[in-house]
Amino acid sequence: MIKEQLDIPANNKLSTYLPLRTKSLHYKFCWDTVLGYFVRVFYGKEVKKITVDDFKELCKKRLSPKIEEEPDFWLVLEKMYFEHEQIFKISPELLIFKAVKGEIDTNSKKLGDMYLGLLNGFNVPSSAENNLNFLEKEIKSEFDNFYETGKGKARENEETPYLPFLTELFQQDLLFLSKRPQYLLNNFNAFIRLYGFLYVSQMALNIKNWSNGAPTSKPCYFIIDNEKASDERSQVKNYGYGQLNEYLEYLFPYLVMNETLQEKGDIKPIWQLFEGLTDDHISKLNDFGKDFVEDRHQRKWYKKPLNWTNTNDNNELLAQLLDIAHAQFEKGKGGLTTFNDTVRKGLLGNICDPFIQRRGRAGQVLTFNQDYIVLLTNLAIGEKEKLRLHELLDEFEARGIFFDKQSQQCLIDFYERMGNVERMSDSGDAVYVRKTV
Amino acid sequence: MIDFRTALSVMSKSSPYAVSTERSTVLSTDLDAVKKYLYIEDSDIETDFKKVLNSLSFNDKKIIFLCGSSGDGKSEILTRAKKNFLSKVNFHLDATHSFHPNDSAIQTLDKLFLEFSENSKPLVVGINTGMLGNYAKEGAVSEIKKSALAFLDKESTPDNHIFLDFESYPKFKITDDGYEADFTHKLLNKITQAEGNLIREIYERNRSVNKDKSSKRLHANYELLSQPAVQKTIVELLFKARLMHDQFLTARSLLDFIFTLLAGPGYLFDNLFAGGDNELLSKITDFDPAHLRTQKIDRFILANDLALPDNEFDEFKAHIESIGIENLTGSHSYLRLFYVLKNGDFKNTYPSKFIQDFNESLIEKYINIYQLHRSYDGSSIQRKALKDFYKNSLSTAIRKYNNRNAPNLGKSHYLISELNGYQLAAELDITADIKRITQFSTQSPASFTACIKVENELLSIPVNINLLNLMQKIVDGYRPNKHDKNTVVLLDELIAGIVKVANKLNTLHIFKSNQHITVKKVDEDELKVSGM
Repeated sequence: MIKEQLDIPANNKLSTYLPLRTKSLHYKFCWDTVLGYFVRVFYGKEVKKITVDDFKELCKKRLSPKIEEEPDFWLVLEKMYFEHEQIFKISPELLIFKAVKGEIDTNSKKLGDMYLGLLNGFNVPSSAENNLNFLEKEIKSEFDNFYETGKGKARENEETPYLPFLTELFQQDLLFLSKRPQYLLNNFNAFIRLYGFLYVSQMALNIKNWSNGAPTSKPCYFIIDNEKASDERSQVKNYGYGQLNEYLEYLFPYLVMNETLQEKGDIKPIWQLFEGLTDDHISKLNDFGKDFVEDRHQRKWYKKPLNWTNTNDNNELLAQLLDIAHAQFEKGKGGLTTFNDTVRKGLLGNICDPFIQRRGRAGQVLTFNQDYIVLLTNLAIGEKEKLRLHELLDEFEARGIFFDKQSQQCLIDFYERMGNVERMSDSGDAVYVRKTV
Repeated sequence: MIDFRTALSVMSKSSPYAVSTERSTVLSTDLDAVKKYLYIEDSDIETDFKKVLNSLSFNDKKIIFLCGSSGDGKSEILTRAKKNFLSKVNFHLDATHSFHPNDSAIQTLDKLFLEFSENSKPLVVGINTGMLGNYAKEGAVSEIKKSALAFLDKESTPDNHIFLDFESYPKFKITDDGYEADFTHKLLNKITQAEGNLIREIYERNRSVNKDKSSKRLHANYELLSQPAVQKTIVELLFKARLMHDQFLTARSLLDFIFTLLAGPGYLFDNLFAGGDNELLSKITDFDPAHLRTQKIDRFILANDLALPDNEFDEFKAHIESIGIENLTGSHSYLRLFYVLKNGDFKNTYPSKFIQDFNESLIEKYINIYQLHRSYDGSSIQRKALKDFYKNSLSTAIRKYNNRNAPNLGKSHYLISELNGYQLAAELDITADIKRITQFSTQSPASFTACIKVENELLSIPVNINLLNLMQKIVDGYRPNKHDKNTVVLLDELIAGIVKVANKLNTLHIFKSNQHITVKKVDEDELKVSGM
């Protein structure tokens, strides 16, 4: 937990929980690579340096004796499956090739690690292949031959998940999808983007709430993308984009302080750090705080003088530590504001972007488009056949997706157009929504 | 004597009479009489409800839930029953009704059920189905939560909790020779019948007194509504709204609907398609015949707008003036009038010219196939009709939709996927599985279950009128795209099932331009390829 030797770090560096760094070029991700990197761990595959072309040769070797009479048929198969990435449509596991062509760039790896942190060591057996024809089965069997499942190391650096509630749902949703490989294939990218947003947003909304135990889903209001976002919708206005944007500012400084205080390789979330604080730590942390403030003054990272107040109260102590970290980045107070702006913009523009829309005078709003709604609905219903609208909304909220009454009406209209509702009466409460997979 | 319009206003949803409560004071003796007259006694659900009440003995620890949508008539039935059964049964009229304004609806119900457990009398609760669902989730009395959940999931409920649901008494029924809407029919009849009709009496008296323009229009509307042909058209439209838009029909919405038809701003046929804040009217606007475009209709609009001479039409105009419809000019209004009159042998045959153009073949086709599925008797005529539907509508639609990006494929080939210009397909035999049809007998007119056999796999799909319509359109050449989400979902599910079967086959076909390669899996070690 708390480091034996608490030194004042010369810079603010972060390597846990979020891929947060302070230059905008760090936010250029290759989502395909992220997906491949994620798939390897999710299916528990070991690391192998093998390219698609190597794999193609293996398939050719396997099939040649079977088509001895018409060897040219291989050329047809090659054209059908090995050009234009068709191979990835056979099974989600094959996406692994996206990450092993050459080295993984650091940015994508860091983002991939964020997902692995959320995944928290969960993996599933090799995907079912009941929907493949006999040609595709040959290819899949060849793949399974050398990429055995369950052999890979789960993760390199074990972290305690920051958001246990979201980790649980992420695992549950992935398990649901892994049983439907074709649906997973078609929606893998969207699914990863969805949870990228949820993880970042719920981290942000929970970051200041460390003194109340494990995080819970915090209100974050979206609208459907064909709705109007008028000012009168108070929930959308107060707990929407604006709220998120405001909280994002605290992520980097708080997490950096969290990491600074703890032993490398055994970093816990802030809320666990707080739970673990004892009286033994108090004097050490007070000294650290005082030195930290002094150091930052010398570096001119505080624009306004800041004083450290010694305290015996754990809560005040940690709050003050997080505060002095944040002050370096605070508008008007700190000298490092531009760096934190990069973090905020990087997250909004590169991880959260599918869910943000600019809406004229109403400014930015968080939106869900119809494809994401269908995916979310199917995940929320999960292995059940249908859910009452209320239960469905509860499932959404558990994942950190909230809709106000007006959006809920819009949602029902959408389901009605899609034809997956059953009504028991004219009352909005007695609506059942069926899943579409 | 009250004014005709005032008498009708009892039906409006903005009238105090639209909500029934226990009143000790009389609002108006005349209006009370109208309201009382309009009540349709002994509907099926009321009869069953009374039977249950009669069967209760004083010490029965039973709760009877009367559930339905808002405006179904729960309170009305309960206030009437209360008078006769108050001595042996406790009544709670409105589940959400509380004497403690700070309590939530759920808390009120909790209290009610707790009181019940301490009490000895049976209890009757009128409750909205949606509210019941909320209670099943959030309530505190677990025994009742469990029963409510079971009821909502259509499972059996314990004997001491009896659920009577308005939805189990459908307002529309598909019968052997068409369909019936018993409640709507009775209500329309009650309002317009010639003998012993309080409303007609008021009308007759008013007609001779009030001669202003708006009263005359109101009287003409009443005359129109009294025509059986018009009533038939109205019922047909309501049924269509139920089937195509899933619109619930409640007593309150129906009364308000009729009131707006009669007392709305225009003539009945214009009011019918004008929309407005009545939920039934807002759904019916979609069926406005003024939006239809056929040669005859276009020609009529042109002729009428240019005031071209037409003797037959002049006769018709003279005729409708005799029943009080005056100064009608717009072609659209005429078309709507023709439409509401289309079902009858009106004295003047002019509207019948457009019967072909107002053709409701979809609803008839749906009912026809629905009946075949529900009461298939094995006769060769029915068998032939069913096979015709499966072959020419269902299978053809499935194939055309599945092969929408591969129109070159033959009649028995089904596209599995297209890979870099190569079409991967399988040969499938899709046939009607008539034996299984009768297993899915249904009460709800909303859908029937079609059963097909793909190779040796059995697949089924619920078909509603919208899906039937879509299949018909696909057969005729329409190709829905992915943004055309409405009901395509159902078809997509079926297609996914079919592709699954196709993928299991041991012979695959690959098409590219003129090439047709066949690959057959002989065994684990050999694939036989031909057509290279």
